[in-house]
Amino acid sequence: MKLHLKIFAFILSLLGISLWVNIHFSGKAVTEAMSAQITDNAVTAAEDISGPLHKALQSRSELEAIKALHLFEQKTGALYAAIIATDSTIIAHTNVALTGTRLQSPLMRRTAQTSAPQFRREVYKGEETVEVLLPLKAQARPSNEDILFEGLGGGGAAAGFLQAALPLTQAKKAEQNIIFRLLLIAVLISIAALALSAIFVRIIMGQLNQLRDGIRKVRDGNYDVLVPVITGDELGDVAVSFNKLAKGLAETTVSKQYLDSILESMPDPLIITDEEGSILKANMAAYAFSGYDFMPPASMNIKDLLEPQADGGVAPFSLLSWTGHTKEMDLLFKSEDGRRIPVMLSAAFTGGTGRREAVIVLKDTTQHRQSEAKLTQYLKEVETVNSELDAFAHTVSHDLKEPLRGIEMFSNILISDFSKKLDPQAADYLSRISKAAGRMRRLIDDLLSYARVARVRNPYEDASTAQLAAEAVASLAATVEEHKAVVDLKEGLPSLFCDPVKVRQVFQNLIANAIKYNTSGDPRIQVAAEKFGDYYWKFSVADNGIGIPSQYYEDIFKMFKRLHSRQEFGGGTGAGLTIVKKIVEEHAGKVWVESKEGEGSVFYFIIPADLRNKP
Amino acid sequence: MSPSFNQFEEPLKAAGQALGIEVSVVKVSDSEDLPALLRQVNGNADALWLPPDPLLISPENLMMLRDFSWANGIPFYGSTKGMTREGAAASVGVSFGDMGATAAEAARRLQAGENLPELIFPARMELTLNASAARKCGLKFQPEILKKANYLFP
Repeated sequence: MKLHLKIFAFILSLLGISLWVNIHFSGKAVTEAMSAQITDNAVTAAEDISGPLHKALQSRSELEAIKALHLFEQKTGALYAAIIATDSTIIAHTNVALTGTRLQSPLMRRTAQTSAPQFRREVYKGEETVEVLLPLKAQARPSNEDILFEGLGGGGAAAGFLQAALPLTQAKKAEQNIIFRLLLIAVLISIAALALSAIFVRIIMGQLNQLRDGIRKVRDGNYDVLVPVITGDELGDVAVSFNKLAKGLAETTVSKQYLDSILESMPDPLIITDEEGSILKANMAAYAFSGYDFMPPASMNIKDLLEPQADGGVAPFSLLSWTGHTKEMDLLFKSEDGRRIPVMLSAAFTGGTGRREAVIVLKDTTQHRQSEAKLTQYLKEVETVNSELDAFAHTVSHDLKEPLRGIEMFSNILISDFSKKLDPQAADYLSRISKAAGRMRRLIDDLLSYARVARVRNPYEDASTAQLAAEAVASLAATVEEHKAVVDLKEGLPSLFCDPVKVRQVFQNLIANAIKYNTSGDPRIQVAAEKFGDYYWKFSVADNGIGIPSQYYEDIFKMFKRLHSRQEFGGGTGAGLTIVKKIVEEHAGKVWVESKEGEGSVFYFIIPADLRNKP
Repeated sequence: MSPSFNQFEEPLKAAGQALGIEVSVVKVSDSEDLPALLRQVNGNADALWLPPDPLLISPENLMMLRDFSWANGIPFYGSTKGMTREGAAASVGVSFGDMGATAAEAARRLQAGENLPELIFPARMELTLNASAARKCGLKFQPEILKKANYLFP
């Protein structure tokens, strides 16, 4: 039932009850008043004929009494009248058949007790009457005390009683007239109350209807709602609060239409299911991808559409139910045309217990898998080519060294054994040939070293970098001694899962460079390490050398790149840092330098703490 | 009824018998005896008929009869319109006007030297009904009676 009908039903019930109570009790009061009035009239009439009444009472003469009763009848219109003795015996009755019988009336006892007129409503011969019983006081001579308290005396005891049935015909008309008027007033008041109630209900319902429409809009996801505030009462307060709520929602909550538009515009298939996997909603991409229209909601189950890629795998939705979410799970999706499409599934449950829904995003991995296969193929080909190149470089370098060694050796023999016979100019040329051959040999050696770094795969193992650094310093003992260098290996150099031979080479090359490119006369090198994030160690090799101009921070790691002439700083080939970079990158790390010219340089490199556990 | 009505006793009984009505005569020697006599017939009579006897015709007696009749449902019938008005269910009798006219006619005829019987009666009889009294006694007038009635008190 509608609220306004309930309110009307309530008001009508209230009015009905009020009307009934009003009419009932008003009628009762009027009836009582009318009966009392009739009784008063009877008392007056009895007083008017008190002489004949007392005479009849004293004489006990029936005829005298009947005469008195007839007088009473004529005065009051009584339907019957009787004179009763104190012992309830009827002395005389207008219905002479009852004379001598005993009066059976409930009024008798009350009148005897109170000595006051009593009355009650009674139906006599089908006619409603007021039965009155009036005490007839004995006409005794007043005592002195009665005279003293004249006006205050209560009168004597009843010598008998006058009973009569007085018609209500006229009184009834007046009574009905009064009750009708009361009813009319009550009906008018009720109509007015109903009209006011209707206006009141209309105002309330108007506000409530506005609120209901607003709530419907918010429920449908439209938060841009402003409910008119019609009343200034609590309902108005509710409307104001609702408007604030809607405004707050509009400011803080993404609307349903907005979310729907996002879902529909998603390029990847998105499916929403209930806790059991029944598909409740899907976006356009899902329709296009699968061929299903997923209608009506809950007519399909995602469990029937997903298969693990390997036989015996865990049912995907069961896994999702256990974990609550899953990410990038490779599965097969059964499309409407029967194809098994490889997909990557990411999903999570939303909502509370018992109302959980799974939001599932699928990604078609068909092209991804094809690309991955191609990439794997390309990588294999590149590795093969690289291996062949390394082998080729090693072979070429090794083969080149042989004739160079001959050129250098025979040039040196000519210089040492035939220098006196040679023209000074020829000896100079011969010396230059020997030096060039030596330089070319070193270049080839470095090239071989670089090729070896790429080609040789030493087994990875847990190794102490402190020990590797110490071994590198030991291998450079002659250089250290020659330059009177001080190499400080700080505490805390960690253990790494690495190729120890190559990492030792990194320390060796960096320390060697730090000693070599130093003109201070007091070379100081410091090797340290610290944690770099959760996964890496950052090593540093700091020196007080000549420093490196910032524009060369990248170039110095290129093959055979030198910043100085071949005559300066021992005439290196410029392959050391290239080898360092190659080794660090092979360990999934990175190397860089920070430097100030004339003050020194710091070479940093980071290496994962444990390559077995990639982040 | 007073002793002067003794001559009517037998004709009344005969007339009643002819109609299937038992007529019992209650003789009233003093109107003070009326209440006791009414108590005596209460339960033994279906109706009362009050003859136009000056001994009984008084306002007090009529009221007494009326109250007794109405209270106990025993209709009483009178002999004049006035009795009907005072509470008798019905009356069959002669109006005072007719009686006067008949008396005047008798006087004129006597003066004219005619011989008249000892008793003369008005030629026209009058039926009056009291609907209220009849209702209180549980009676219902038949339509043919109502048609015959010369006067109906509501």
